[in-house]
Amino acid sequence: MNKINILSIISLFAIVSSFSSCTERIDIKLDSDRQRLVVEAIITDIPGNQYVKLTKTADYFSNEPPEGVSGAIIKINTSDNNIILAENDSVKGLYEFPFEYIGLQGNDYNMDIELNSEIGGQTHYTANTRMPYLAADVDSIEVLWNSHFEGWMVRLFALDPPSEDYYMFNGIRNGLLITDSIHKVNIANDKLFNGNYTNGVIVLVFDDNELVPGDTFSLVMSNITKDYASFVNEVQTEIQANEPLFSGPPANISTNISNGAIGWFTAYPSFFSSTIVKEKTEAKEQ
Amino acid sequence: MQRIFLILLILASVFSAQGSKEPKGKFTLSGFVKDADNGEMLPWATIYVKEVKAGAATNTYGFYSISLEPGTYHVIFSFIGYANIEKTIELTSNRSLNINLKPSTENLSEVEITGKAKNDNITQAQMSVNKIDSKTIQAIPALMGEVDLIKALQLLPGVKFAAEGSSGFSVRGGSPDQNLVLLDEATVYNAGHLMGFFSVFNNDAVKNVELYKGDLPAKYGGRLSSLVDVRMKDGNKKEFHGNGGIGLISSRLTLEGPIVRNKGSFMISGRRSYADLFLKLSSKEELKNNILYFYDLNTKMNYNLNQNNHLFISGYFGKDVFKNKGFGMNWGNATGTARWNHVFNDKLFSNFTFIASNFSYKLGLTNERGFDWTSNLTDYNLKGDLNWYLNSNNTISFGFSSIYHDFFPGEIKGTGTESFITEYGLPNNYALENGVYITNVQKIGSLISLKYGLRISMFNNIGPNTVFNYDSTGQPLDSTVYGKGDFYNTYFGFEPRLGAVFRLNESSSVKASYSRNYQYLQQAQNSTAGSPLSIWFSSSPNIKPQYSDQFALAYFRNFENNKFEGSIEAYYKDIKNAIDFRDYAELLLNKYIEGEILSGRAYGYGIEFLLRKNSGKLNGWVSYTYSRTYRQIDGINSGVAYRAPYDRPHDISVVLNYNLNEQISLGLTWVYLTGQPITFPVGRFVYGNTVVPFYSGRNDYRMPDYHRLDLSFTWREKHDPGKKWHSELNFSIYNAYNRKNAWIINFQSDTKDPSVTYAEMTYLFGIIPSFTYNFKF
Repeated sequence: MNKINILSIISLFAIVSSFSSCTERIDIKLDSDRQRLVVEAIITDIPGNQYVKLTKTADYFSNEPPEGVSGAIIKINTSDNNIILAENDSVKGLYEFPFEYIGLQGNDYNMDIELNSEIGGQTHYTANTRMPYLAADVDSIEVLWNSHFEGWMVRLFALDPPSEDYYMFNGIRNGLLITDSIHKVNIANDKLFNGNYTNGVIVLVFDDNELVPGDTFSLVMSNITKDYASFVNEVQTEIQANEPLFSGPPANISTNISNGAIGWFTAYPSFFSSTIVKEKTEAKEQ
Repeated sequence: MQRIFLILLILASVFSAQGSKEPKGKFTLSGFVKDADNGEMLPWATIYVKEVKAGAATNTYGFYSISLEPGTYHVIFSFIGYANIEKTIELTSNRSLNINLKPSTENLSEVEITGKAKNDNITQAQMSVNKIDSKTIQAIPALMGEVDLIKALQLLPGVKFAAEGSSGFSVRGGSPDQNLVLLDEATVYNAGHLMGFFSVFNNDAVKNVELYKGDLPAKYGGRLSSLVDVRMKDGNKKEFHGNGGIGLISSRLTLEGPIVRNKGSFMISGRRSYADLFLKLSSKEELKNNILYFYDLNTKMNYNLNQNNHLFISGYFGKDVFKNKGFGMNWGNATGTARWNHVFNDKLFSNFTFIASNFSYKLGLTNERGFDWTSNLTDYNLKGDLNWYLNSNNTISFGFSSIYHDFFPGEIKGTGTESFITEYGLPNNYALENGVYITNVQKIGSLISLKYGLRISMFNNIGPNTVFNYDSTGQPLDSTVYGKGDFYNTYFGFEPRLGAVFRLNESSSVKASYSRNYQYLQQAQNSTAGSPLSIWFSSSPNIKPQYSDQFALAYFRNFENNKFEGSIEAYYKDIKNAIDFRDYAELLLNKYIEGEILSGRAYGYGIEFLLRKNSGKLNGWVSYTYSRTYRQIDGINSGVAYRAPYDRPHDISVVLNYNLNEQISLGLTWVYLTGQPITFPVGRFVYGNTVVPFYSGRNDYRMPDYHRLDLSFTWREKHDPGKKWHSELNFSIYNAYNRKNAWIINFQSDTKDPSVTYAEMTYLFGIIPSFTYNFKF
């Protein structure tokens, strides 16, 4: 289901409850839970874009940036290549790959983390992942103004292969990543257009002030695993406002890291496609 | 199916042959009890025979039958809100006697009645039941003045709303989809309008409603928690009348009258909301161009062919419509019922019914990237129910029901020129749900009465269908294809329904009951308030039917000559194969929905106190319930038992109506509920520059407690017998002390500094005054 369609359904409920509903901040006392290791590990096929971040969980209302975990030994293994990551000198808990290191489509990656002191009663953690193949055959993209939603739509013209595919979409404006947080990316499966031409499916939307006519906009289309797609969907679900008519009960997001750690080890290839943002006149959209 | 029908007919003819000669030296008094003014049949009216200190009650269609030795008797016919009629009857042969009772609405003084006839709550073996008539519902202060049957039910002990303002409700801890909601015997699959804030029942068309909490009569099955049996008005058989009202949300008009005087009548009732007119006044541009309304149409016709044959046809049609510039959505229920009441003889009463019921929704975008999404569900149901008044100590009921279900879970299709959606649909799903039952209500001496029966249900999945097999994580492995007409899966359910009452004295009794119910259909819905977009899905090779065992014990006591009815009921309930959904379950347009379902156990217990006064200047009820309810399902909450969403231990309802004089009455409702269980974050982490919460165990926390006071003031025009037009004004206040009851609690990151998180509560309704103008002629 495309997010925009969901949005219009939600707008109905918003109208209904706008008759009288109100929102206010309240004080709630929450318990503390035991501390856990958080792993954010990404391998792409672009040089300089791979890293592992180790942090710790914190109390919900701690209101401080997370504490990085230093001094760990992190090994990344494939069938023919083993490396040990180097910790960044200035950013605590950030571990970097050699600059020229890139992931390869179809490769399996194993990660082994050894901490120098226990977190959550454990020092040793492992995870593994596989980099999927690039699947879709992209023709072009288009960025159009939509007067109905008062925003920019990024439309994709591509041929989806018959396989079951999961995509992640990021946006780059004039060379700068604007989907710079995981809640801004869009995740899609090909359920509604599997094996067909996407015919301008909307893959990203941006607010009025996020793009300007004349900008160079690049769409980054990545093939991700089904599990990582679920993980990102889960993260996005959990940070969205809860809504009693639609939302299921909150739940802890899944992980592919062992021993009670939180987070995900992912690898994906990306395809770039660029266009110039057009003027706001768009006659076709009512 | 045909065979069952045949057997019943044979049985019926056997009974009817026996009926007139069976009682050795006993004769039968039978007939219908009706409203003298409009000819409506009165269900549950009481017939009390002074000499034998015993009595009977009319059935749902107003029919009664009593066997007595020959002799002279004083028989009192009574019904709440009506003046009693006492008849001296010389019984020397079987006798048919129809009684017309006069309503006593104008008489507001404390009605002194011979009492004993009114203690059937004490004497009947049936327990866990509440009955409300439309007058009582009318007197309860309502949200935005919209009188609402479902909201009235939510004030009864053991019944809680699913969320504030919702038409969904939980009975004794069960889920909203465990309630069988019937309108003239047709299943209503979605009882809410406007996101559930108003129910589909237009009170002007309603005669009465019965709520059975778990201990269902054997006649009914297919749901675990309750039966809500709503009956429409038959229509006035004597004169043409109308009534209606104008409120803030909607206007109503009901017309009723004879087709052939004293023989047949009709009733037609319509309601339409005009919330969209208010949207036009909105300053927000995006709200102005929205269309948003709902409407209902209830109709009923009935005709007495003769003393022994009555025909009824009734229908309901309702829809919600929402449209804006590019988006449209509508959903609604339609039901139709055709009924034939046949009195074989003074001891055998029968009712045959054919029912069709449909729920559907559709939504779509209308622009060049447009799509249509549709879903619907249709039932066809044939029922036969017979009451055999064997003798003064035994009343046997038996019958069958056969339902054909056709589920169309959903399809989405591109409609625009630039549509990217090719087509994605879920195949139809067919099933047959059958039941046969027999039950007897037996009196043993003057102190004990038993109710014992058995319902046997059978459920078949019918092809064509493709059934997937799943691994333990819910991923599809392979599938089996079944051809058209294949009965590829069958479940049976043996459902004993037992009850007993032991009378301690004239005004008190002890009751006990045990019942087992099976449920073969459930709703794919894991949100608390429920949306119209949910679908129903059936038991299948992957999903075993849910079944419940309920044990209940009660003490009933009436005070002051039955003016006050008091009861204490305790229950324990255990549900097997109870369903819940995997974390992040995808329930809409999902071919593999059965993989998202987990099953386990649900259990709960509670004690319910009720004190009710039905007559007099001051009437109403006070109830208190203490109850708990849990679920234990492998795969949810690490397999540890957790509070069900409806676990709200303390529940108080005060419902009072005071008739100051003939013109003015005042209403008050106060409710208190322990806060709803909720899952809160107990920690957080950062991933991809985003602060993400992680959670406590499922439902480990609670929202703040809920309480609310509603008030109403009704002024009626002075009664003038010469005038045909009567009007009344109703002024009501919802949430009179403006309590901010949390509807949602969300945890958010500050937009300026995302590392700062805070809790935010949304409440739905502040203080809401409203007024309604009602008229009748």
